[in-house]
Amino acid sequence: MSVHFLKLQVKDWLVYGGQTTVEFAPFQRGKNIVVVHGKNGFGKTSLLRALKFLFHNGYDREGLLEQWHEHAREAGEGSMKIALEFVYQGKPMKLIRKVDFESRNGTTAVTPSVALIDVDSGDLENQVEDKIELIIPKKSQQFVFFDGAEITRYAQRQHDKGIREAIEQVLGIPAVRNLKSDLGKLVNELEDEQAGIVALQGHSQDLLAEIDRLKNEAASYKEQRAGLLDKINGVQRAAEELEKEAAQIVAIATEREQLAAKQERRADYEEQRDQVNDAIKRFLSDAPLHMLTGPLKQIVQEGVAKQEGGSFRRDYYLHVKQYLDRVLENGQWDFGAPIPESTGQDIEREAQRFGELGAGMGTVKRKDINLGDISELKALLRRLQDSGDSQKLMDKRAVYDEKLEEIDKDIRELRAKLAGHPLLEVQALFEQRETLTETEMTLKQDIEALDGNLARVIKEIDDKNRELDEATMGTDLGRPLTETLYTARQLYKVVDAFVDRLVAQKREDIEREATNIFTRITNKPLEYAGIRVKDDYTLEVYRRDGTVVENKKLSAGEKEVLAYSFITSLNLSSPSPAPFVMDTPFGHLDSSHRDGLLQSLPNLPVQVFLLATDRDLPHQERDQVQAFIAQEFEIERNQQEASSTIVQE
Amino acid sequence: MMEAQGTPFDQMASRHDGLLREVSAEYNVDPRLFRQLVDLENTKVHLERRRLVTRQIREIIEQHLSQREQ
Repeated sequence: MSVHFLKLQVKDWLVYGGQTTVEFAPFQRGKNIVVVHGKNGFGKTSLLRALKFLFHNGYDREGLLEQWHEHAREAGEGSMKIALEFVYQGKPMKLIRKVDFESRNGTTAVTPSVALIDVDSGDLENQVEDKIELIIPKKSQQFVFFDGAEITRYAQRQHDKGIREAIEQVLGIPAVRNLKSDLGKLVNELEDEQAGIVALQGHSQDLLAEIDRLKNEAASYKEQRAGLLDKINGVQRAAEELEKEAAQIVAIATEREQLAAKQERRADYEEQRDQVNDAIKRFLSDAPLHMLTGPLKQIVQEGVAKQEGGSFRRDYYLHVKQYLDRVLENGQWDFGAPIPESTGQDIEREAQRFGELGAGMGTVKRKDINLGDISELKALLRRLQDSGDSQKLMDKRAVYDEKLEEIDKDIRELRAKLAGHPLLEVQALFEQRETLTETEMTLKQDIEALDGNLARVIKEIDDKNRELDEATMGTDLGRPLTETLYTARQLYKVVDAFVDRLVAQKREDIEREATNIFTRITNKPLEYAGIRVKDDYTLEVYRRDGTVVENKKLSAGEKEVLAYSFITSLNLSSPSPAPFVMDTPFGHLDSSHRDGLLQSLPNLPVQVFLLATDRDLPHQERDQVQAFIAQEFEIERNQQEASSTIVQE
Repeated sequence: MMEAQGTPFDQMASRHDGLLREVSAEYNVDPRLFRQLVDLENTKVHLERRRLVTRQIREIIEQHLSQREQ
């Protein structure tokens, strides 16, 4: 049965000077949201702290003085007080935590007090702190009163370490564990008493001795079993470590393969680029000849046709010489490309040769142009034609340069990743893993054998106990004791079976409800299928295809949604779910997550107090849940008096 | 006592109750007695020293047995 808040009074607490009283509407399902609007610094967090303080005073003297409203503190004497009327297990109660400040000998005496009142009878309850602990245990406050920052912290912690104890306390599991332990003690006590009766009667001594021997044997088996379980845990931990290492090796091996492939591809690119470079060099060195391709063709054609000719090319040779001289003088080709120094020398040589050819044309004899010359010219022409287009070569080189630059970057990154990862022996790891598996199997077989022995001894003890019970049942003194003992033993067996099943059931409940809440809020409902609660109560999100989402892959917002879903399901799985008081709970949440979270609130079977700034709950979002809002309050600030009050809107 | 409507959380409480009855039946123990003991431990779970709890359990069992006889 859930706890509902009815009326809150705050006096001289932090930003709340004087007394502020807020009355809450009776709890109604589906209309369970109470919004307290407040600007930054107006007192939302002070309100949250007031409730935390009310249920658990975690402050020392200095801390209490710091919580006292500053104007009241200036006066030097007075009190601060938080009082809450609420319904717990259908009963109206009032909890008051008050601190008196009194000036004594130049210092302030601080006297805290607490009272719990049964409102119907007006009676003061005793053992107040114990009772408060039953209503909202200190450890479970984090699942009841929380702010955005706390959710963020919880979201981080949730993935690092299970907070098993607190969670089990909220779920009511320790009480059942305690019952098992207490029943065990009671059974021992009753058996001792029974032994006394048996001794008084002077018979069945052998039976008692035999039971003692069997008990010792059982204890020894249990001890051995616990030792073996410890060993199994150790083996499993070592196996997990090995698996992590193996996964790392696989990842490293993959990266090494990638690196090798990239290095090979780089070598190919480099070779291809070198070939292009050579082609470019050849092209440039042949540049003058390229300019002469046309005339050369003509020479070859005419040479072939007119091998008997004389000075028919003189003018042409001289014309080419003039052209080359001009190019040399300008230092660049007609199309603008500069002439490298080495090429310049070639051009100069060619110009000289053409000059000589032209000058000597008058005396050229038939024998000067022979078939050998023509063949050489033909070969030269073919080479020139094969050497390609200069622009295309340049483009090709640029492409290779770009590819090399890109692959160099990848290689650098991979090298950086692999730096510090020594080459690990996979085979050795697999062998170790195998040995561990074998050890684990052997240990489990040993445990099975022990369990067999234990079951046999327990049965023998039961049989002997029955004999003993029969012996004591026959006496007036022994009969009631034996009946009590028998019932206690049966109860012990019940609680022993119950505790394991209860833990499993609670985990299932939390898992299912956390999944319900999470899938309603998440902005990836088609991808994420649910939440799994592991043995240590840490969480993991799994996808629709069954794969687990690595925690580090979850965004900060997603982790908060996960934490919120878990906290909510946990509180609501407790025997007495408490109201949620959330101070600016939306931390890293995007609008889609915020919408989802807001829409989930009306489904909760408890009051939900939202302490929000206008940024946390803009009008548009507020309007979406208006039908579910029971009340709205505004924190008003009197800036002259540095004091806040809460008024209903 | 459970609340009237069947929210998932009421269903949880109901499942808890069902489990308690189921296990009690398996060992032929009155579920009311078992629940009474769980309730007793619930009131003491936060205490570091749970004095006299074994005696209280014994009294509850004895009282239960004497009521059964009557």
